[in-house]
Amino acid sequence: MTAAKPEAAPVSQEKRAALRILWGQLRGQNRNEWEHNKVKFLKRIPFFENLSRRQMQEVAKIVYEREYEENEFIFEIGQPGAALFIVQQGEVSVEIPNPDDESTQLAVVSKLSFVGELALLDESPRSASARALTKTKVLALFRKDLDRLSETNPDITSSIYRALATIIGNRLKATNELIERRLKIAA
Amino acid sequence: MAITAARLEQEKSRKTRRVWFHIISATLWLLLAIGLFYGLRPLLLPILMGAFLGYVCKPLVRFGGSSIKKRARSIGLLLVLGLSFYWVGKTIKESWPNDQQKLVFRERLRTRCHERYESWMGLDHHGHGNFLHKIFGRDLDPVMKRVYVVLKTGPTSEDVQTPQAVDMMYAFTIWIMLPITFLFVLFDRGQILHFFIRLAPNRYFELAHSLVENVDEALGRYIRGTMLEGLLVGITLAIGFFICGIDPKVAILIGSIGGLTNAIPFVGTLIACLIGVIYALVADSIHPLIPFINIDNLALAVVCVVVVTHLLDNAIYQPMIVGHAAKIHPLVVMVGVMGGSMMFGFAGLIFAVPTIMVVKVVVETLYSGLKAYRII
Repeated sequence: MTAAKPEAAPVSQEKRAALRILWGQLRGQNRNEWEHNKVKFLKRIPFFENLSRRQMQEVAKIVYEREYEENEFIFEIGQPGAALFIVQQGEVSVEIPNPDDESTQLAVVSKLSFVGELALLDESPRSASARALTKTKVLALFRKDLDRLSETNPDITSSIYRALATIIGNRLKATNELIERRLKIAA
Repeated sequence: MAITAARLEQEKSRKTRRVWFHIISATLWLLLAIGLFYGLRPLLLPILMGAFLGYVCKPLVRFGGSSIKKRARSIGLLLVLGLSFYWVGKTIKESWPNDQQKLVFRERLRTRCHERYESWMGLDHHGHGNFLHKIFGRDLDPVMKRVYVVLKTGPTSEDVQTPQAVDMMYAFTIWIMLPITFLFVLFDRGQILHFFIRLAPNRYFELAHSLVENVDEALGRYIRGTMLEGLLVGITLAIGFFICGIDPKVAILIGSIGGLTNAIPFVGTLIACLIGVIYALVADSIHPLIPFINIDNLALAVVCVVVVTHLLDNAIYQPMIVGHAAKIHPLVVMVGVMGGSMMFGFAGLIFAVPTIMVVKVVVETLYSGLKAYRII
């Protein structure tokens, strides 16, 4: 006669969650919920898709969160470019002002897209203005901060610059194709 | 239509409230800052010095990187640097003469000065001298008499006070802020700057960041460059004096003083030269590495070392280290350092040059930035 072996008590979901939180606390994670959310958000941006979680945390430390009211300019044409802006919430109009006080809208950028990416390369003046169409939240990443990050974490910045080069290359290709099509039509 | 008008009215009143809120909160913050500044005056110097040292040493942490291995490397570097400074400080403290040594030193200096003056002027027992004495004697004799009197009188016993235990405890509680601030600033990864930049209104956000970055870059380059230049000048002077046969501890002491005062144009070189020559005049025995240097021409050798160091500084150290850093006119530095020390004492002496640099860079960057962002 053998006594039935008592079944091991299954670890409940709550306990697991508590242990996960405790482990996170011990590792210094989740201390800052705001930063945690920033990391989660940044992971969805094509710029940072190749970065690991630890690398993403380094990037999250150097980005600024800003809020713009409706019709407020994020930057204006001709200003020296210093930062890339990633739209976290709301919509941004990329436009060029006309002499008659009207402006030509080039694009509307929404959540998870970005504007002013060329500012990460040099300080050349902005080629267009960016205006918030609704109440907008953005994350700003400055060139100088990225330069400083490259001193300590060159792997992160090289990955970001590679992604930037790919994006700019794709846009150049698209522009070339557009010009070719227009030329064909004109011919 | 009515809804839009009501909304506009609501927005307008919100804007007015916001303006009032900002004015009131800014005033309160300002009053609080003034109150804190006044109340915590004794803490300012240790905090500023800690922050200054942390800021200067920051590239060591950046050089290390963020991984554990790299962090260990930067901590190791900091330890080496700290121990080096501790050793130099200890050497300086040991070489610094006590009251009795000072008395002996003064007496020896007085006797040697008298001997030298007599030999240069060819004075005999009747007070008659050579042609030099005939030309300059009338002016130089009273000066030398005054020098002998000054060297004869020393500090009275009333000037020397024993520190009380309570005073020492008070000093400890205040100066403990120095290492704390040093560590916070050293390992700060931009959080302090982020906090201040976040306060800037949207319109000035990019400008504020550029301004802070430019000031940081120019100031860091200037201060670190100047300090590194001073270190090299100090080392060169110490090696030069050691070659001339001056005791190594004294050579380090004079080199350190020359290096520290090097940031003050001309004055630093002059101070090092003066101290070196005074020591050369009173030195009893020397062990020169160059055979033709002896006790009689040691003062000349010291002057040569200072001149060579000055030339090396101008030809190699400055162009290599300070290089493209923003420069301040030597006259502005001198007036600033003197004015700073007259107005704020020791703190003014230390922070005069960085403050002038901050003002210069802020004004330049702000003006060009405001124009670039079409604010003015």
